[in-house]
Amino acid sequence: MKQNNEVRVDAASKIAGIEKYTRDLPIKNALIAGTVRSSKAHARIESISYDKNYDWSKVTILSAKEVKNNYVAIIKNDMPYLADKEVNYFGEPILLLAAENEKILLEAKKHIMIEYKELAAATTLKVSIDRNRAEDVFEEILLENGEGNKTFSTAYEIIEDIFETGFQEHVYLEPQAVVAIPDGNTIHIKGSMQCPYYVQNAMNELFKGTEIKVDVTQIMTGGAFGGKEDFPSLICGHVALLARKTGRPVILSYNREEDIRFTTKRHPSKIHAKAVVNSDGKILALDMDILLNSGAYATLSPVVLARAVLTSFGCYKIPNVRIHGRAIKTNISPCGAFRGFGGPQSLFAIEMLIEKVAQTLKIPVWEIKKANMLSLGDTLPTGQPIDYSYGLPKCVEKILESSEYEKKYKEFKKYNENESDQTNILKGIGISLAVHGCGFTGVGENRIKAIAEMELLPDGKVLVKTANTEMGQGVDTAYKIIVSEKLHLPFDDIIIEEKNTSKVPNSGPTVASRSTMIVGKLLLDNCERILDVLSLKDLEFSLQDFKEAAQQYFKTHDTLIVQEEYKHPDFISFDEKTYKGYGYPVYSWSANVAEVEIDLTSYQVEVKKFYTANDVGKAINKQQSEGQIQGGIIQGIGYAVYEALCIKDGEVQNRGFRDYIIPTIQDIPEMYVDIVEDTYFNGPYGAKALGELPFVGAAPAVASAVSFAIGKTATKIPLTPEVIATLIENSNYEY
Amino acid sequence: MNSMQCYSPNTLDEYQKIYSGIAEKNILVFSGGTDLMIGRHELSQDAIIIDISGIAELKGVEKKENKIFIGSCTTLNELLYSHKIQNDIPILIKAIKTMASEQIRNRATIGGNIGNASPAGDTITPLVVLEASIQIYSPESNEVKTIPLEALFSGPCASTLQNGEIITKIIIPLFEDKDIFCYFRKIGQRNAMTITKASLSAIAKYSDSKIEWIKLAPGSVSPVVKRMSKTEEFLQGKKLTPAVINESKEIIGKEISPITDIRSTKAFRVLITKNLLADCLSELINRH
Repeated sequence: MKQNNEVRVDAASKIAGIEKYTRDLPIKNALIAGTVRSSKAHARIESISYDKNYDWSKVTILSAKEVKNNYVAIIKNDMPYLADKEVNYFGEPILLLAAENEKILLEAKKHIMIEYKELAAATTLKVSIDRNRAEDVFEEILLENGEGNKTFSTAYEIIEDIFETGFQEHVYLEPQAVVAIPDGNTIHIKGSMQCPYYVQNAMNELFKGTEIKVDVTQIMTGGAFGGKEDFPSLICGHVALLARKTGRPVILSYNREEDIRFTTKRHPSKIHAKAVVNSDGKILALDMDILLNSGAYATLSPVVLARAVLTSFGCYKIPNVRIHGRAIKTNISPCGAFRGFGGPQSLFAIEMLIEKVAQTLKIPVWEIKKANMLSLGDTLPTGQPIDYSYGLPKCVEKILESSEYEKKYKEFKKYNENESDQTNILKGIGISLAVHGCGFTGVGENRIKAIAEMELLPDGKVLVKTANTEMGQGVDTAYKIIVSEKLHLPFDDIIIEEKNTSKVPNSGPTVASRSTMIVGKLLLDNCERILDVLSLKDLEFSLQDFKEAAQQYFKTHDTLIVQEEYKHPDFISFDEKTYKGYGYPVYSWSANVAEVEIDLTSYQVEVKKFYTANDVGKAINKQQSEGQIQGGIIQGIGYAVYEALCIKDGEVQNRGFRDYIIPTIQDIPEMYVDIVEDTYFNGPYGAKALGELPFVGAAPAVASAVSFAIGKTATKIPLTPEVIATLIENSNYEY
Repeated sequence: MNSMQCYSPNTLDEYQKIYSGIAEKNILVFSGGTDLMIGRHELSQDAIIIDISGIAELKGVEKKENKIFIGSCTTLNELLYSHKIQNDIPILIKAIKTMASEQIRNRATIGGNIGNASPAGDTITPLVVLEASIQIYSPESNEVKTIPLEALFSGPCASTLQNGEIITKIIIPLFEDKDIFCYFRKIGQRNAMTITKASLSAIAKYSDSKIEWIKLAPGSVSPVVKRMSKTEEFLQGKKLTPAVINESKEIIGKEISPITDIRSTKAFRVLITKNLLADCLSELINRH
């Protein structure tokens, strides 16, 4: 495959501001929806009353009593569309309202009185763990390998600590927005979302046993990062229910404040990790107790936890492990999918545990990482051999060279010893190795059975039908490149079908960095089929040849539709009870170096430079891949340093960008991006996962650099100035 | 659907007429509106708002005798790029450089920043150490009065302005002595577009290795911006030995009264205010 540097097909319309997002849809006669929410973290709803003096004729009210199948179908089906007798978090939807305009909604809300009987609430992980109730555990996983306990007695040293990561808000540019349009017995749902078939499935369950049919269309989505994976199912249910009740189109769009306060976040984690090491820093055994704070409902927590467990040993060869993971219920807004999906939490823990090992043994951290890093042919604690597409050693080579890590390591040590007193600045350089399992965990792909379809049109163009959505990551362009390369068609001859569940097959959700690797491969296979039918397979041909072959074909045929269904190669199997086998069919790898400065007046961490090399198998679109990587680094720096969600008695205090701090252009470092291409035999042109990988390694690299600077292991993120001051001054400056 | 009433007078006279014409005096007067934009969802749908930032006679900078007169509706960027005052009030210029972004500074006005009366208002601490005063116009009496800036603030985001009074001018006395040390530093949550966690404005006269006098005003660490008179008195006439610096840090740490809010904690604000004073004093030593 040639080196592609294509401008995204959606770039021009977005830059010109003419792209149509959900709020831009011209919907006639629509009502506006609003949500009445719980003002308690955990309570019984005693009564709901409506002011008799208020004119309710202009407002439609919908309560849980009217929802027959009142659960959002995700994994555990435990979350209701509307709370009925009990609320489990501050902000939980209790009633839906619909009216002609926002003003009426705002006024009507003032005339609704809800009385509660407060119940004991666990608004922090600690409270929930301390009360130790079985029903608070949404999921528990145990992965054991080797002989964990025996190694402890022969060990040189047991090194341990508790590592914590915080919430993170997705900060997609476009807040949540969906509409429902009734049409006889059908309800058309449109909106900003990643996974139209997840919504379709949830709507099928919601309207099970009724005559209602639903179809779902994704509208151009202004960013998602996982925040529009599971959450839209809830609000699509809301608009669908209101549309059914009123018989009119209903629009529900959150403003930024509502979005920050009441939509899903990244799961915070608390991980107790222990390493058994010998005197030269070789890790003999790893014991990890992973706790994820899931919030009030399970959403995707079980699978987030699965990825956390399977990422917990990072890029290292560790013969003996005991990894115990639990996803815990608390009375806060449910956490959900977010770029990295459990990986960032446990990768932070393993990378910082190694930092602690290095500091305890007084061996440079890179020496420890190098001594324990996987080699081609090694086996993971799951029993999976790493014997193909292992580009990590190459990534390491690249960043050590580009960053001059070893030279700067010495220079910065000297600087901190000799010059910091004068400059009031500490310098740090850190290194992280990161891994991201590509696609669904275990044999999830075999369960999904993704189908992608292509249709040859009589004019020789092709129609590409997948359910994989464009949300700013460039999937439409990637698909055009994949198809264009194979069929020799220009982009204009490749038409991407609308992501409408009545028009495209279920090629699975747009998650887990799977769209290019899994569905892209199906498209490539579909191209082969078309070429086969046109008798062009394995031949050299021109665009002209292709068009003529198509013309010939349609002289005797009416249509040409080809379909491919995904299945893992046979040797890929996974045991969901023991967590043994292929956690993922293949892995993407990255090596990262961060340089930081810490100002000792303000305790602010500033990331000055960031070097990264990412093995993505094959970069289908090089400039877009670099963009994804830079974006991932910036989001990772936000996670590591800036982004702090403030929750008080279960209530999110942040209201917008003035108090939820993300890095601006003034806060981001010089970035040096390398791409390594160690191809994967089962990906299109060798491509594997890219979307999440750059995020996963960023925070540990920054925290490693901070640990260098302060001479102590940074055990928690975000490393806000208050946390840094606490670490440096040995006194508490945190909340 | 929206019945909000908005006015944007172009002259003081127009403002006076608009104000007098509104019977229900529940009026929000602002200048620029960059802070109001963020809180717009909380505004009542029936609010009456008047943006005075278009009043031409309240714009511009003038240097007369030994004073600088700044029209309250002068934007932050107009000040930043005004060659007339760059060298006269460097501390204010330093502060403005740390504020918001280019786009917001094009719209935000100095009078708006002051009138908002936030303890985190970044133009306020420099003006307080400069001992600025402000002119206030009343549309009811049609008169102008002058008060010390510090007298404007009655609490966090609360001012003594009433009955449609607006700030018209900021008056800054200049020093004849050109050898005055000035310091402004702000600690926020990031490098741009950030609200102050703590800041410090200082001006001082240093001679014979001693502090002749110093004026200190920290930001975001008390209900209203005010001078640190105890710390100032302590430092006056002192040689800046490490012991003196340490003691001054302790004094300022007790003189402020910060709170814990979404931007930071009380303990951290005390710590960095002390650090800011140490940073200020070490800069003072290094410069001489």
